[in-house]
Amino acid sequence: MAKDIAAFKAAGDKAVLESLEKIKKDDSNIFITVCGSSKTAGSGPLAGVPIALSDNISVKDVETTCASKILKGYIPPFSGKAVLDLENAGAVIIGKTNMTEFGILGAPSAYGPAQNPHDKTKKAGPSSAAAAVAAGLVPAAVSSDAGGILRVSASFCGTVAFKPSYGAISRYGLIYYAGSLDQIGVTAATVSDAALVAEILSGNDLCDTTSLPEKLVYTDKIKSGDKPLDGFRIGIPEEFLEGVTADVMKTFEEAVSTFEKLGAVCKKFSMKTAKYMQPVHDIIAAGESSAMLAKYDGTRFGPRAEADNWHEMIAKTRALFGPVVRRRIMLGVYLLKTAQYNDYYMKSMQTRTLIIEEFESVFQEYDLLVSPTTKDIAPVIGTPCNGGCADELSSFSAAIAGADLAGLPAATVPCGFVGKLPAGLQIIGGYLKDANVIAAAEAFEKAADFVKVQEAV
Amino acid sequence: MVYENPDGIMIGLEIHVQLNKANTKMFCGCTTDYTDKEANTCVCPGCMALPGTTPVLNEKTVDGAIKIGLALNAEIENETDFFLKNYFYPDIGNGYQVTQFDKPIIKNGHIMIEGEDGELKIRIKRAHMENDPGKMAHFGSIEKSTGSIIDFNRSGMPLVEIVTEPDIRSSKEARRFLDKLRSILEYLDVFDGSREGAMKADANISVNIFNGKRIEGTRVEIKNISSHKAVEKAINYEIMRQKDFLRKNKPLVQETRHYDEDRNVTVSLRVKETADDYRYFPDFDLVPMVVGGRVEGIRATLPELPDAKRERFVKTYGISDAHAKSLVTERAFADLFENVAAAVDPKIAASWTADIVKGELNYRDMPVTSVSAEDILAVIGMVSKKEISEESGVLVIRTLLDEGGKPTEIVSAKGLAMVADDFIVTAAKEAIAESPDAVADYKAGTEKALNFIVGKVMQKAKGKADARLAREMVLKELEKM
Repeated sequence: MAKDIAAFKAAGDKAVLESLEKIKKDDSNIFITVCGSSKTAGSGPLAGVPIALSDNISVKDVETTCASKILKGYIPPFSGKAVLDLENAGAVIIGKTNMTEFGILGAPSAYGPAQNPHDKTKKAGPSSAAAAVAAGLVPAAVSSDAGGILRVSASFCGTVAFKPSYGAISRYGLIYYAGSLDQIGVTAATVSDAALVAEILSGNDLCDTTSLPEKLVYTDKIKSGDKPLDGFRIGIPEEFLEGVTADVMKTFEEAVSTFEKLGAVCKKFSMKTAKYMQPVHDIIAAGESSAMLAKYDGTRFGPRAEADNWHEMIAKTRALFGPVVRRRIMLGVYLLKTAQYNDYYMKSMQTRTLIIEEFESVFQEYDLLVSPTTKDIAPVIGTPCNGGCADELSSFSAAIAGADLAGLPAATVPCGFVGKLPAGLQIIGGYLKDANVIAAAEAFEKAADFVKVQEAV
Repeated sequence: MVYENPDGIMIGLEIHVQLNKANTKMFCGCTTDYTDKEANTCVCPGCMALPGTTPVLNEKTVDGAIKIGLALNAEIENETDFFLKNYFYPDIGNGYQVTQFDKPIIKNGHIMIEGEDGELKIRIKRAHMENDPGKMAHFGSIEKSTGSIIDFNRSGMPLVEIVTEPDIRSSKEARRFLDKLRSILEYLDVFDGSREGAMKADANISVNIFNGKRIEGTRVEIKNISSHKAVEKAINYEIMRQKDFLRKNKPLVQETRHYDEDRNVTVSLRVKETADDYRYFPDFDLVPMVVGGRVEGIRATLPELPDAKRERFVKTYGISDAHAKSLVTERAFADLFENVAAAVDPKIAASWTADIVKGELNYRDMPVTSVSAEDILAVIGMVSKKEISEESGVLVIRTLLDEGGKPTEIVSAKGLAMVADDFIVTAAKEAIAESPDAVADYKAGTEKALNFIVGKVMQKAKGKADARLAREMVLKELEKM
C-alpha cells in the first residue's frame, strides 16, 4: 500500500493527479482539506512530489482548522516555515490531514475519526498523516508530534516517523497547544524518505527563537555493511515496557534480537524518573494549552458567537472547543492559579529538569534507547483513547512523554504485525544525536525487511 | 525648611514607557511609529496574534531597557526571562501579555528630583519589559456601548514599566518626577514623548495622617493616567477624596480607580479582593536572556544626562543654576545653548536661549528644531552692536517663529534698525522741553519722573532707540540745565 518518494517520482507529472484521484476515492476520512494541483509543482529534491500536512500547520490561503469547530473557516494569510521549505524543495502540498482537535490526545476531531488503512474498523491514530502514507495517498506527510500523536499514529498504521531534536525544525506556522513539548516530525514509507524530508525542513529560522542555529544533517550518516550497528550501545528502560501487551512485546523482543544481529549491545536498565514522565507531561501540557488556546476569542479570526457584550462573546465563542479541549484548558487554568502553582506547575518544571538530567547521564552510557512505540496495536474506533491509554492524558506513555520533555530525537519503525495490524519500534537518541537514530532505524528497517513481512501478511 | 507632609501622603508611581524609537515592535517587524496611520495597518500575523505565530525578541528593546536602567542608577539583572500574564480582553490578542515576573531586567535604582523641601531621592523598585496590547474604542460610553472596535497598531509595542517606591509626598513632586523621568528618557533617545500613548502612569495613593495622628492608610490605585498634568490633578482629587472620607468616617477600600479627565474625578473600577489571578508562568517560546557583556558596552555609549549636564553648564560656562536647570530639560535645547555659547558670552547666550527663546517656543508649543543657533547668534550680534534694541531682538525671534525668515531680513522689513544718536539727542531736548512738570519733579528729587521723559524719547524714536542710551542722553541734557 505505502509507496515511497521514488515510486511517486516515477509517475512524473502524473504523481500529483494520481494522488488527488486516490484521495478523492478514499472514504476513510484521512483528509480534511485537499488543496494541491500539479500546477504548483516546482523544482528541487521533492519536485512534483505530493506531501500532506496535518491540519494544524498553517498554509497561506488554505483553510486550517486543527480539526476544531473554533477554527472553521480560518484561512491563514501566511504559510509556516515547514510549508515554505517543502515548496522550495519542489513539493506540492496536496492537503491537510485529519487529527484530534488541536492534536490533543483523546479530543475527538470535529470531522470524525479516520479509519486505519490496514483495518477500517480500527483507529488511524491521533494524526492521520500516517494513514495518508500507509494508504499510499502520499509518500510522506508532515505533522506535529506533541504527546506522540505522529509516532503513535505511524505505529498504528505501519509507517516510519521521525521527530528530530527540539528546535531542529521551525515551529513557525505550526498551531501548537504546548510549545515546549511540540516538534514537527515527518512520516514516510521508508526511513531514508523520512530523513530526506526532515533534512529539508531542518535549519535555523529567525521567526522561531527556539530553533537551532545549525541545520541538522541526517542523510549522510547511514552506514552500510553486515554489522552497521557494530559497537552501538542500546539501552532498554524497563519502565518503558510496563503495560505492553504480550503480542506487541513479542515483536519488540524480535526487534531487540535483530539489533543484536546488527552488532549492537542491548541492555535493560531502570530509569528512576520514568514514573514522573507522564504526569509532568500532563501538567505542563495543560498549563501551556490554557495560554496557547486563549487567543481563540472570536475577535480577529474564526467564528464569532453573537452576544450582547464582549465578555459573553468570548465565552460563547470558546464554547466551540470540544469537551476534552475544554477540560484540558480548565485543568491548566487551575494548575497555574497562584494557590497551587508551586505544588504542581513549579514542581513539574523542576522534575522536568531532573528528567532531562537523567537522560543526559543515560546517554553517557548508551547511544540509543529503544521501546515499543505503543503498548498495543490500533484500537477499535469508538473505544476510549487507544493503545494502552484509557485516560485523558496528554501523552501515550512514559516512553513517548520522556522524548517530548527532554526534546530528544525519536523515530518509530514498523517491527512486525499482530494479526492484520502493525506494531512499531521506538528509537530514541541523545539530544542532537539525530543521526544515530536515523542510522539505527535504517539498519533495522533493512534487516527486518518489513515490506516483505507486510506482503506476506 | 523641612516639608512636614501634614497628611502623611505616600505616592508610588508605575509608569509605562513605550520604547517607540526602537523602529520595530517588541516581537515582530512592524513599525513602532504608527502616528496618524489608519487603524490596523501597522500589523502582521504576529502582533495580530494569529494562530501559529511565534515571538522573536527585538534586541534593540532590550538595549533600550538596559539604557533606562543605567540612567536610573539601577542594577541590571544579568540573567532574565519572560513570563506570560494571562487574562481575557479583546485587545490583548494572545489572551496573555508577555511580561517579566520575579526577575525584572532593572531593579533598585533612583532619581533625584526637586522636592517640597530641597533635593529628594525617589527610589525605583523595579522596571520590567512587556508588550502593549491593542487599543479598544467603544461606541458611546463604556457602560452603555452598543459596540466596540479595536486598533492593533499599538499591539506589541515595546514597553518598560517603571515602578517607584512610595517616596513621593505630593502631587507637585509626582509631576516633577514625571518631568524628570521624561527628560532622562528623551536624552537616552529610546522614547519620543510627543507621540500619543508614549507614557502612561498608574498612581498608588494613601493618606496616612488624620487629625495629626498617624493612621494605617488605604492604598488606592488610579490606572492609566495619560498626561503629567492629569497625574497631578488625579492625585489632588484622590487626596481630597480620601481626606473627605476620613473626615466623614466613611470606610475607604483598597481598590483600583479610573481618572475621568473631563469631570476631574476618580471613579471606582474594581475592588482589590476580586482582582484577577493572572496565572503567571514562564514563557516557553522565548529563551532566557543573558544580558552580560551588553551592559558595559551600552554604559560606554550613554549620553551625558540632565543632572551632569546642568552641573557642567554652571561650572564651565559660569551661568546661573536656574538657567542651567532650564536649559537641560531637553537635550536638543541644551545643544542649542551650547552652539550659541560657543560664539558669544555664555551668560548672554543663556539669557537669550533660556529666558527668551524657550519662553517663546513654549508659548507656541513649538519644538526646539523651529529655531537655529545661527538665527539666535544673529539677533544677539545685532543687539550687542546696538543695531537693534533688545525689545526688537525679541520681536525678531517672535517673527521668526510665527512667520519664518532670516533675522536681518526681518529687521529691515520691519524697520527695526536703531535710529542715529543725534536723533536721540534732539528727541531728548524736545522731550525735556515738552515736560516742564516732570523736569520740575525730577529736580525736586522724584526719580520716577525721569522715566516719563525717557518714555517720551522712546515714543519719538518709535521704539527703535536703545532705552539705556536714551536715558543717558536725557540725563546729560538735564545736567546742562
